Amino acid sequence: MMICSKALPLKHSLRLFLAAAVFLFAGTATAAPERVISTGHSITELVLALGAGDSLIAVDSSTRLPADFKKVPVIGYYRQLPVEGMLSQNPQLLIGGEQMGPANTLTLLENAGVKIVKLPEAENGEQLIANIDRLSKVLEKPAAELTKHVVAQLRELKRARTSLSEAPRILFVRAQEGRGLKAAGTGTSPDSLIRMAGGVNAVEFSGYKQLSDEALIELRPDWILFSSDQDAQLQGGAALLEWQPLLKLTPAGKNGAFCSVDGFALLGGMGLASLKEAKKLNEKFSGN
Amino acid sequence: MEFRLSDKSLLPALIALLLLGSCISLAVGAMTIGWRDVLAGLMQWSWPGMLDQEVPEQYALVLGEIRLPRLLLGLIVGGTLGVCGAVMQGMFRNPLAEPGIIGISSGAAVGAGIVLVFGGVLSIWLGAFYQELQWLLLPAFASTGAIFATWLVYILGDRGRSVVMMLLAGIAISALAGAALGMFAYVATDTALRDMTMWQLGSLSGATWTGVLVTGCIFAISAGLLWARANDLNALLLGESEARHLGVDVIGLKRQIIVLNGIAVGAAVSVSGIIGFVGLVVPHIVRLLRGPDHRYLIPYSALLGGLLLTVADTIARSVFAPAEMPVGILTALLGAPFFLFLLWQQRQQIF
Repeated sequence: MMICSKALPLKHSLRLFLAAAVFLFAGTATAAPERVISTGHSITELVLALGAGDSLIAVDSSTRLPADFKKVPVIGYYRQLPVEGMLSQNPQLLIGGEQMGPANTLTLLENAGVKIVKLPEAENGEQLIANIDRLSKVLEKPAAELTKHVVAQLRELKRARTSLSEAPRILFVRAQEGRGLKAAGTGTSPDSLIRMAGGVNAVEFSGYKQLSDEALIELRPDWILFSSDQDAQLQGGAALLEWQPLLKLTPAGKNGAFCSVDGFALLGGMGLASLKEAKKLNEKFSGN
Repeated sequence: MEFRLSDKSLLPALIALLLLGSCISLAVGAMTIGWRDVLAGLMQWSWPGMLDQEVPEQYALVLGEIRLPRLLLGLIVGGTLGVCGAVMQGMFRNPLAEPGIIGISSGAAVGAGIVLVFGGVLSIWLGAFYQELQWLLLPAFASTGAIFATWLVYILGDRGRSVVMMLLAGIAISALAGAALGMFAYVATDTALRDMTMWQLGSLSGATWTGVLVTGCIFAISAGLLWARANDLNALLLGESEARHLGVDVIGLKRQIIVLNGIAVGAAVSVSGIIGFVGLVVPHIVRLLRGPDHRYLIPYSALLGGLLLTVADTIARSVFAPAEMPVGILTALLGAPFFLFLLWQQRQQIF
């Protein structure tokens, strides 16, 4: 800020400016980070999509890596990261969502010279693209192709959304053993996914809440979604109906409109898997 | 089976084990550091430039900022739980008493739950101060919860006169705290819920030098004051009226125990979360080894509590390295079966 100040003689400011330029140049001249820890599934997904998989040395327990990916250590849950466990991997860079922590761990890592980058959880396309942009700078990988791909996907989704004659009412449920159904309201990842796919969330409350049996009929969902980590239990809706026979009285129950959603597309905000999942859902909604 | 030991063998054995455990705890962890480097790293950290040879900077940091405070916190928290358990069992003349049972830990959990779940509301309420006070909120609320629960137990128990009423009050408070935590869980966001669950599992991973200093001072003062009343506690073992006839100010003693325990457990729990079974099991082991005399029971429980928690924490943070598990799970997992085993072996009065 003082560079342009009149209080400094011009010569001095020039020298400062030059020093700054040299410093900046030196900054860009360093090699891309080679030892990266990434936490949060949707963020790791982006790291891989940007082609930085080689430098990935550890992930957190919420991340699912592709089956053919090299084995890397899992360092625990992203909100409870162990300092020493991470330092033992000798990382240069730690990438994660804003929920990454605890703060004490991050401070100690920073003191140890590990660079920490926190990305906001993406709730819409713009944030997702901004996150890709930020990551590409941090990892020093070109983002043009990925961004183009994502923009194209987002545009296609938007077109698909508008082509739906009427937005279907969608209910995302989690079944709890012996305790009925919980539905995902606003502010949850299923809610973002539903809106992205062109549907309307059948419930209006925020967060996950228990549903009363009678409310189910009143909500008139056209589609009922559930997470794939419950697939085995629910077997594509048949078990869900057995669980809660009142569902037969809803439009979704009558048409057998049940659909499982990839559980990892629902973790840590919108990511690449969510886009794919939104497209899949949209196709179902439009009857293709 | 009789394995009571004299001080001549027990105290040196305990201290030797504690030193050994501490050394192992410093040397073992997710990061592999050789024995010689452990020493060099600690020296490098405590007095940079003292050594001629260069020690990797990472080592000094891991040892001085992570393992050492964590070891000390383990010794302090374990010691606090051991001493508080011993004194409570003596006061209630009930082998089941421990900070968890009479509701102190539950009180602390409610305090912590308020911060973890309603942090957003608190931040609006405190405005600009929130950022500055954030580190203090959890310890302060947890300690307040612990002291409030203890105070309630004390008042309901006819100001410490009725042990049965105090135990009943403790159980009722635990139930109430359980309901409050359930309500928090119902309104909490998913992330706050995760935080709350993790906190209740107990872990020493939040160890900082500030935490070590604060809990350490509180532990030293409260344990010292309690130890000073060891003879009075011994008299209490005979029965309340007997103790009164022996010239012990029974009500004053109980009052002192409750306040000191509330503060010490509140401070310990606020940095580590809830760590079960140490306060219950440790005094029992000491009683089996050395008898129920509080002059020995209190300091030995402090040593053994520290040793036990340090060992448990070393296991918790190295078995699944680079990840680690909450030590509270481990103490419960090891403590409960061990306690059952003790009960089985000693089917007799140990009081």
